[in-house]
Amino acid sequence: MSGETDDLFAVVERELTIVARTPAYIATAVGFAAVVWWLAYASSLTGYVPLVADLLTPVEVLVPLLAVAFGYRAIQADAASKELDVLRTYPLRPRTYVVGVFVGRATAVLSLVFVTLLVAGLFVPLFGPPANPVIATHGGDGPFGTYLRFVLLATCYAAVVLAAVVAVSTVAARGRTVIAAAVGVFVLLTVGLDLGLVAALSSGVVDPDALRYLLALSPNSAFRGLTLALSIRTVEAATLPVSAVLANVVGLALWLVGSLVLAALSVWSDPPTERWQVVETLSAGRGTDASTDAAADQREPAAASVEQSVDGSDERSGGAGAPDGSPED
Amino acid sequence: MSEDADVPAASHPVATVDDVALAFGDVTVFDDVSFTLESGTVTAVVGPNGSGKSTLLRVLAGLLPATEGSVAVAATGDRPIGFCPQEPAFRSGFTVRETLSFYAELLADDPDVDETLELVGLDGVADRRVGALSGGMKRLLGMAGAVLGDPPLLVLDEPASGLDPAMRRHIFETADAFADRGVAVVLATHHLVGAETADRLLVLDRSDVIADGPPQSVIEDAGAETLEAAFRGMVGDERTVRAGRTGTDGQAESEGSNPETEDDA
Amino acid sequence: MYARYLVTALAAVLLVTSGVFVVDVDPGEGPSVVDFDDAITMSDLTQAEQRVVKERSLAVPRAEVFYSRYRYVVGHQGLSSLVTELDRDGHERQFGVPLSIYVTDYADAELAAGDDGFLRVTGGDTDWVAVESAHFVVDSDARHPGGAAVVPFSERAAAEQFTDSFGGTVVGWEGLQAHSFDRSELSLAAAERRTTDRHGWADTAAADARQLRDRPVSVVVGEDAPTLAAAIERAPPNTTVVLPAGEYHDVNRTVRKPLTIRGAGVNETRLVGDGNGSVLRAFDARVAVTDLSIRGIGQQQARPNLTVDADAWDAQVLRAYGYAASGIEFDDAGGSYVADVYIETPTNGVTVRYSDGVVIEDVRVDGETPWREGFMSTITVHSRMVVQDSTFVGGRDGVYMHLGDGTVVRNNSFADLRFGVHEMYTSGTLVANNTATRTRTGVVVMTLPEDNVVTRNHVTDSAVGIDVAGRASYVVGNTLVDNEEGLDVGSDRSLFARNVVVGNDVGIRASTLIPTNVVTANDVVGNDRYVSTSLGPVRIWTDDGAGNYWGGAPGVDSDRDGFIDRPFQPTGAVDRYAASSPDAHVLATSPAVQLLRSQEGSLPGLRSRGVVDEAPQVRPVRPAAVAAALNTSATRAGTGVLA
Repeated sequence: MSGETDDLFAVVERELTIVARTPAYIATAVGFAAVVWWLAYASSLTGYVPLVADLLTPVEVLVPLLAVAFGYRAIQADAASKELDVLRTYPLRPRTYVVGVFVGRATAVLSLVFVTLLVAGLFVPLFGPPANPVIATHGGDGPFGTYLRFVLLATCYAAVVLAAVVAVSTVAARGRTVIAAAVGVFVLLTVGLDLGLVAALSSGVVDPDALRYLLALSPNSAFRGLTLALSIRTVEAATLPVSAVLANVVGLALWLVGSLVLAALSVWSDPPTERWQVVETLSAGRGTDASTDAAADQREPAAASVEQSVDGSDERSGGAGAPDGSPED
Repeated sequence: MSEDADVPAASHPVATVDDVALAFGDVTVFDDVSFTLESGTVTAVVGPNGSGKSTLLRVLAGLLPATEGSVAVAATGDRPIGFCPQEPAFRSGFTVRETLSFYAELLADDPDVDETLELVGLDGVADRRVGALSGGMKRLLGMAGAVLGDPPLLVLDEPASGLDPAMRRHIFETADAFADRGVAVVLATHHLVGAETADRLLVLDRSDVIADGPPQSVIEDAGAETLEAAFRGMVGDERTVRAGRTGTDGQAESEGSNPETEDDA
Repeated sequence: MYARYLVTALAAVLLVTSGVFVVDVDPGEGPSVVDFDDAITMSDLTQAEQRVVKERSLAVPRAEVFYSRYRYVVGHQGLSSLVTELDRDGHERQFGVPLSIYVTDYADAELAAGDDGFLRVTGGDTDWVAVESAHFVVDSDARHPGGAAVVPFSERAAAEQFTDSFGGTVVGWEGLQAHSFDRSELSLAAAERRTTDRHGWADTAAADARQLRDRPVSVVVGEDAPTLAAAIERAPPNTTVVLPAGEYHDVNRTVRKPLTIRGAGVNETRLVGDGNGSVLRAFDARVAVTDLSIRGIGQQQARPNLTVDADAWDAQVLRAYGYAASGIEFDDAGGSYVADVYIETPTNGVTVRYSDGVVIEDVRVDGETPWREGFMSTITVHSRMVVQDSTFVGGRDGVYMHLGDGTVVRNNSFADLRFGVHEMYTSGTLVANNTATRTRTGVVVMTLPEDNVVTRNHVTDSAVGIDVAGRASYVVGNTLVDNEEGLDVGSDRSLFARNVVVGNDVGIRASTLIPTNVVTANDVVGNDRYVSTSLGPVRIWTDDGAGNYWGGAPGVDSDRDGFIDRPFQPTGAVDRYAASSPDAHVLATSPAVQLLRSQEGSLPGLRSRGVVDEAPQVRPVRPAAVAAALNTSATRAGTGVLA
């Protein structure tokens, strides 16, 4: 049993086990929940929308921090321990590995964000001040649905930021600067991009009308925009246009997919087939003769190998349209 | 398991290295290296620090693209090559069995993890956390990770450096046991006593293979009494670190930092 | 393989909960109209007028507003307050925007004006109509007790039909918003103008009343007549009856002609009643009583069985307070005068009913101690009077007003009473330059009146300094020292400015649910707590970029505009200790506190309990007054004093 999905979940399970068995991650999770709950408890808890407004900024900072804490070592640790070299000699695709690492860490981070914020929302009915019983209130403080929307948006935001951090962990894996790079991505995501937009706006480089779409390029602005549009907006009469919502969704999706693609492309790559290839058999005698043949017509043995592999039990080599018979491709 | 394994009736070529050259920028690590690896044999790559042993092995394992030339590996399964890096490290939170089981899950034919652990002699510590293993045990775990799934070619980078003599002997014996299963084992070492037990020596220096053959014939060709004497005759007496043929980038190869004095133990 | 289950479970949970993005969570979609009595009400009418509406079953158009940033439903009685409130500066900051507004729909109702000119529903039913779909009749003859009525209809035809009987024009919602209404102008200038006008009226009334001292002497008791009764009987109108030094027991008299009764001085001429009823009664205009003392007043306070010609709610108050035994009782005695009189009373001192322009000055009334056993030192009922330069010690209330619109109370001193000045159903008054000490409340205004001015009073050692209810009122330039609670901001749409609040247990209490007051340029120094709040939203106490001076407020004024750059939250977890603990300043600038503070600033209308001053003053607004108050304050705090 070893389809790509099985490989994926093998990696996912490995990541989840690592998270579960590393005390630092547990401590970080507890710290995150404690801070969020304290902030929620300290807010006035008069309703869900005020709570969203209260938690929006802290979440914008804490979620990237959480993603950095949970993600920056993910791939870099395998590279540093040279386990990545071992993994490469297994029939594991880079994208399977990267997505597996991401899904594993994301399962932990997203569950944490989701549950922590959901519990914080329960503070409103549990600890909120009673409304004046003789005076009629209306839905201005928001139904639970608005809060749930915020929680889901924060969870998505966590996934996006984690993907970016995993990409950084991959790209910076070779150097010893991964912590600096992780701090860099944290600063970039929480303030850097927005400050850049402010600078662009004030210097006139950017037209205010274009701001809506440029904001979507900054993940935390996109998250904030979506929260304002889909959660807090529900108590504002002003309606944000659908295009803004779409732009933000697309912006976040681009960050997520782009980060994972970048990570998959940069985590490792196999040598080109004219330099390194797997063949069915090698002729006996001096290698020079055989390899001269191989070098003279590179495609032949590779193609033969693919056919052989497909005939065999290995579904992988042919499955993803790999150009050669390299099992690691 | 090694005692049960029969030596294959006929050895056959498992990998050919053909005119391979590697350069980092203008630093040439090696040039025009060609050799063929036969199944059922242990080939030891020796050479002074910086001579490019590790790099050559990485090129052979397909982890690093050669600048020139080509490598071909003959394999039919989904795992053509097993690789054990220098001083392998694994996630310390897992047990030995969990570590190997993860790798086993990546393979199509679901190899028997316990059998592999027995093969390298880690069956007694299968439930121990990796973080609690000794340095030698970690090497063995690395070798187990390499041999899992029975790849026809095993590439072991300095499997025995920095270990006590008993463990070192065990490592070389384990490599022999791998070869006995019909696998072509290639290992880099600067431990000449161990290298002498190999079926074949490849002496690497000044970016070239300067000697190739069974240990005894290498000694004889050099006109020396011992391998050490032959080695010194070939690469020179001075304690030197090779840094490629031109240029000054001594960091081009990671093994440059390893102490060589180990060999005298 | 637990990973598969975990990932699948998380994905499933996220997917299922994502359904909330397609579910409509918009509360803006027509919240249903609530029972009007459950809404928090703003009214065009005073409580006195509201009582008339209720008693006579009058029609007053209503509105209900659902705001985006205010959790309570706001009801409006009369539509003038609706339009002016929506248009008020700072309104949106506190309330957000209206999500929906409904107004009374009279399309299916029959409307008629009664004999009193007020609008009534004589048949059919009223309903609600969304304000955008409503047609309003303005400038018609229709009236309610609070003024001209704007009458809404769901159908234009019905509105036009209404104009056939009542006149006026039909406008839409936008037209109504453009229509001009009287707006309360909450500025110091407006307060000053009112103060000057009312002082002017009081000066005129006092000058007019003092002329009664100049009436020729017609009868001297003991010389020209044996008794006071005989003297009153004998004296012609517009003359003076003189009471020489001595004690007079032949009292409990009623004067029914314009006379001046003058003694030889409070210590010389003493009228002593028989302990039953009032000592003197004046039932004609322009009666003056001067230079004597009165005691021996009856014990009777409430007169529950008295027949009174008034609306029932009004009659109830009259029977309770207006006919108690008094030193001097005026009824239908406009322009009368009491001066240089000492009264010792277990009940009322001077009672004034239906008598505008009565002036009481240089009087001292000693009431009962404890106050529970006493009654009203002076009381005005349906009368505009002047009480000035007088002293009130003991008893229940120094000056009690019931429907005493326009009354002026100034330069008096109150001590050991329940209330110094107590206004009920009374609008348009001036309470100025009085001092009160050891009272339950120095100056208290109840029953939602409008346009009262309380200025330059000085209240010390009382439970509450000044407590003003109602709307469009001005509490300006008062000094409140060493009280349990300095200032109670319990009104709406009113101005609280330039008050000095020093050394109280609680400086200011914010007690209204609806945050429409302007609180600015007050000096709040050396109180145990700056502010306490009852349930309600966060109030912004900054007006047009100018806040209050909070002794010890942390922060700097980097742009030197006179205001600290950092908003001050007198009720905040850290700021509330700013005066007493310098360490609070260090904590106040921490990122964690900044984070919490930024929370309170957003969506104030949906928060509970809190006050934010966005532009705290660097220096006291009235430094000399603050310094003087600190000098006299027994309990002044060691810190938070003037820099």
